[in-house]
Amino acid sequence: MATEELDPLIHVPARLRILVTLAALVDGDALSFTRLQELIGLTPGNLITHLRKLEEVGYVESEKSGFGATSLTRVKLTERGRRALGEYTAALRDLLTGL
Amino acid sequence: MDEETHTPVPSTGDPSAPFDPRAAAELIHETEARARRQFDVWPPSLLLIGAVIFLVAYGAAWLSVRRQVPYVGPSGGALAVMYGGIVAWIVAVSVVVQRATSGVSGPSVKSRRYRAGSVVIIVAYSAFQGALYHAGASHAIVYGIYPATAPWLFAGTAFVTMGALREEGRALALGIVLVAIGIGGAFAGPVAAWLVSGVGLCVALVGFAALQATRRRA
Repeated sequence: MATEELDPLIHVPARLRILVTLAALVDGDALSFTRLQELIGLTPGNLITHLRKLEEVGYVESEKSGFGATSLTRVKLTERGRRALGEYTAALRDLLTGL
Repeated sequence: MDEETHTPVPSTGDPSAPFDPRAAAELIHETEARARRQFDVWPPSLLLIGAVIFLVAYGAAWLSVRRQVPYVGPSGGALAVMYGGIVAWIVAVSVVVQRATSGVSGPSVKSRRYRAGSVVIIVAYSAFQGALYHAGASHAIVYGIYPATAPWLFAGTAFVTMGALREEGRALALGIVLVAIGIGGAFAGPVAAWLVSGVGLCVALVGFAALQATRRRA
């Protein structure tokens, strides 16, 4: 197996961190954008870019509530995202075993 | 990080940068461990602090009643130590839970509401002590067996119920241990009930802390 077989959307450090962090939450829980940013250590712009990519393929979903200064964005790992991360981890394990 | 197995982990989100599979595995391991630590509402350190607090608090009550004939109940000083310790632990737990769950929303928040509800019921249940006194129960019951054991019996029942409903093995196990401490204390009598509760809770919390530490390392 080659690295090409790893999900290219997940096989990026920042996105992998995002998914693993969200997967550590209780199933169905969401995390605020601010806390996620604090845990991942990315700039807001960078985090938004990666989240958008993950959202496009349905791995995460975000929900915005409130307006202006009081607005709050929550990010959640979807069932599809959890499954994709599981498959990525399994593929990575196979790859490392084969090395 | 284990320096022996150190693999450079890219910290930026540059998608074009080559990402070694070993670095990816290490990144998963590190991120997972960090996230677990950050979201953990029962860190081992908090449980160990609780173990010491409960041992001292209930130990103080036991020391003040162990030579009493007839039994009248813990002294004012012992009660101050006990309630002071319990309040200090509740404050510590609240701070840790607040920090760990900051920004988190969803089903686990709902389950925390259930826990908050349980606390209210435990307080109401403790008011039952007044009813026992009013009914003319002896000091050994009102100021001994009941306050030393009933809270754990009730809290244990709540944990067992919650653990069974939510299929949470840790809550179920903790509930069973608490019920055992409550029943064991009640059988031990009004004096030894304080000691059984103090030592029992201390051992249970140390065991829970060891489990949590093992889980973090896994």
